[in-house]
Amino acid sequence: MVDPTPPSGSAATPPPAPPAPKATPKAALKLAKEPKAPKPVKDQKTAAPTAAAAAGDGKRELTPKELKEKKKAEKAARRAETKGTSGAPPSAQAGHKPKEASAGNKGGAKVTVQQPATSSGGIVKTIYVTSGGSGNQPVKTVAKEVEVIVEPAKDRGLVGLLKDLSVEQNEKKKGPVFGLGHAHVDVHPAILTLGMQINQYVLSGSTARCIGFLLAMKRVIQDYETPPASSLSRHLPGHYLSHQIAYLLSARPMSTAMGNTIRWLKQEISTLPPDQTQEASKKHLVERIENFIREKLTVADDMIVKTTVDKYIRTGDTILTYGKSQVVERALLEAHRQGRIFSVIVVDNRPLLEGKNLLQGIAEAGIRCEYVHLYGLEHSIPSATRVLLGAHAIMADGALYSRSGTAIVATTAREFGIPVVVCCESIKFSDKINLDGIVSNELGDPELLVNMSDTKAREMGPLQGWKEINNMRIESFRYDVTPSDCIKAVVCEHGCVAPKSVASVLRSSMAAAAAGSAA
Amino acid sequence: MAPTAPTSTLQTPGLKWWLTHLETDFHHENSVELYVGALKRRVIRNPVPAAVGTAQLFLRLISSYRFQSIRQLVDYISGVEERLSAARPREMSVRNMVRRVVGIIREEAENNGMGDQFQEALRSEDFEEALQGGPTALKKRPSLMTVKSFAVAASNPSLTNVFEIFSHPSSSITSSATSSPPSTGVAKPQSSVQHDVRPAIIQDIQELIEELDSCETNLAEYAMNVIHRNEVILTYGFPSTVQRLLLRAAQKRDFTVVVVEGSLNVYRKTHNAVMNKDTANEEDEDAAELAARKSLQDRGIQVIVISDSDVINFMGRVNKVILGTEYVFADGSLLAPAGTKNIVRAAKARNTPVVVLSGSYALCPITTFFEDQWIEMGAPKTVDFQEGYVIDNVEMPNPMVDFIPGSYVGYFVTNNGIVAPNAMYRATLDLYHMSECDLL
Repeated sequence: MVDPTPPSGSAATPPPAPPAPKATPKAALKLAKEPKAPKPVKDQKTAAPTAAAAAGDGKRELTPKELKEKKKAEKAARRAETKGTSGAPPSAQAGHKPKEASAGNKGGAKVTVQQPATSSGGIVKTIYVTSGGSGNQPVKTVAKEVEVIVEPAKDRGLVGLLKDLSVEQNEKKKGPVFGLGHAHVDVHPAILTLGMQINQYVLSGSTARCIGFLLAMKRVIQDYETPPASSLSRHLPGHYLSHQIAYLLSARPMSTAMGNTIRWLKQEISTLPPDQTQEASKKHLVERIENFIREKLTVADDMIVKTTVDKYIRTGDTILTYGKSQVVERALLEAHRQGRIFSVIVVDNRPLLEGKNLLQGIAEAGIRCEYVHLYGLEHSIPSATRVLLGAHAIMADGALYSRSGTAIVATTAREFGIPVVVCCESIKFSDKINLDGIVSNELGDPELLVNMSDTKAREMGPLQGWKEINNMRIESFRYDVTPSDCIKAVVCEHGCVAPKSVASVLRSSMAAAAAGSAA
Repeated sequence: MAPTAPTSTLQTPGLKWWLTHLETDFHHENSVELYVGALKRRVIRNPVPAAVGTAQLFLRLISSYRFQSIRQLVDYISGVEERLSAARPREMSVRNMVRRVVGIIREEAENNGMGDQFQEALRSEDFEEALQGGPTALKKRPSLMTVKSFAVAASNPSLTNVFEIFSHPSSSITSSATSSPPSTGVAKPQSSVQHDVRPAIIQDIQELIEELDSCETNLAEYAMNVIHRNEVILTYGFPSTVQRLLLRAAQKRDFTVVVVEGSLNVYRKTHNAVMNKDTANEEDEDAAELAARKSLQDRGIQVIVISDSDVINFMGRVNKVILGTEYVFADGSLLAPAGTKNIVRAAKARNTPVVVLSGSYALCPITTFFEDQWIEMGAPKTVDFQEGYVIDNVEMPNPMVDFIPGSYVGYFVTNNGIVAPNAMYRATLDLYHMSECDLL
């Protein structure tokens, strides 16, 4: 880990070595860099020639691509710095970084940005300054650089944030572009198929995706051959699996359940006894995966359905639910099968209208139903006695992360004093905390809002052609965050837990899983 | 656009039709009948068209009606009002307009030294009611401009049973029209009453109509007070009042608008409004006028359209919620398009201020008691008829409005100024020259 940037970037503490001719803080900042130049000795050897070349031809005019790269590099540098020992204030770093680059741009001090190399463990990033541009030219270039960096004022607020999000998710800056043609050669056919299904929302539920992933992984492992001069526990997770996962990530952002599963799988592989034969290891892993599907998903669902039916659906109840959750649907049908007489209010909303699917299932089974969209919630909720919700994930602070609109239902239910019960397998418990509904949310397809038809056939409404209009966006998020104080109980396979204690359940179940794999 | 073209050729009668009718073949009895029918069939609906239609009707009625005393005029008007309100009890702008007209008559009567006549007219009306006595009187709607509040409190709200009211032949209209007016204490020669008062009344009603026409423009005047630089504004649906205000603000300020598309009843209209498309088949002619303007987007305002379900996601980044309304009650509560409650609740959770735009026609001198009676239900919209097998087993309520208590509102913007919810009582009563509200 090389940390090339100065520990003290602030103008208040000028570096002692060079006498600062310019009194401006900017110049001081600029000079602060120079004594640093010889410091990363290791990199100088490797990077200097390329630095000269890059500065010579590439950096004269900044194409958008270069700009993007530079920003990326800066970000990586910032991250590396904060990781490093020096506690330099990030604002100061952010301040002087562009100036460095500009100096290189002008031809004085040459700057090379080496792309972060992620492969060899950790991000290595060097910003390298060669040859002394004595500090008398930067003022002009700073101005020039600033005008390149500053975004249009419009993109600073909410819209800017949304644009960033969509770049991050739709243009797939991070991963490869989705598509069979873009897949790595090592990606297994089963994963290719799965990726396509996930991308097209054939498999859209969190649990469904998780099961699909595990089944595909089973085949991947069965077909896997360890290359010579490598061991399974090293090569499989590090090289082979990462390609599979990267491909799936490019299909759609990872769900919490899948993240947890992958973590578990990697742990399983890492705890394989090294002296085991490859065949034995593969057999063991396949067995473990089958067990995992049974324990964490199939039986877990059965347990949740049983608990929910036993505890929360009684004769005379009116159950309100939002959207469609597989577990909730099963619970409702099971309770109906057991002869309980209750009615269901299905709340739904554009653009996904998943509730209609649920409605068909339970209405055909003969359960008395009411179907409203979110705007009718206020009217229908007073007659509800209980709210049953599915989950995409439950955060470490107990907040529910579920289909967008759930938060409205839960907060309304709280106001009416109706208990909210969430059905969620413990595989969906997350160790992260999500405070915000926009950042780290998954963007849905905006065209869904343009569609006016609520059936399969699409009917383009008045919003058609919105992309041609400046200053116009349509946004639709897939999830939202419901604070934990709106939720009375979480039903998982271990029983009912309070939302706040989800984190401890997660820890103990992870510990149990680890113990199981060790045994 | 292609899909709207066939519907636009099919001219449904609306406010325009009604105004043309008044212009060309007005008849003091037939027109009232026609208007009752129009209200019942929802040909004229929504607060603004109903208000304009009613005010225009009364302008003609008063100019053609021959009256000998103030009392006779007031009786006549309240008789007509009763029929109109019975036709469409929840369209309160009809009644509001009649109140305004009665208020005008009172003012003019007082100006001409006939204030006592007016008072007497009211009192005798009450008296008449008391005479009828028994259950019939209890079933009657509270009369306009009642003096005694207990009489009002006792009367049953008619909203729940429209037909019951209608089954009672409106006796007052026939009685007041046919029976010779009582001449107690009328000192002046009767023909001169009409002569003195009528021109002034008519002029005042014309001013009222002008006020209605310029209402949205007046509301837009407050744009600079409501919207500030760099704010993120969230609005539910895209009602023309809000649209006008935003357009006005866009002339000077730079901000971002988040438009929630709204319920199934309005989302198509919202989309049209956002895209600045002409909705020729809509009943409000404002849309066409607004569509002719430069859109918000063209003026450099960022517009984000989101679905109802994403409101909570966005609320954390919104500075202000600006809402349109249908009716505002004197206690500061309001009726707004269904789904608004979700918005204001989310806003309250985040302490985001809520601003409600309301024309003066929407201010009802009523304090609410039974909230549910205001909720009008529409035809089911959530499931198409192709999915008929679902329809058999499923209820699909489609509420048209939400009742929102005043505690959710930061302030109201009316064309008479900015009013806090707790001051709404006073503002409303002042508007109608009333001393106290009806309790419904």
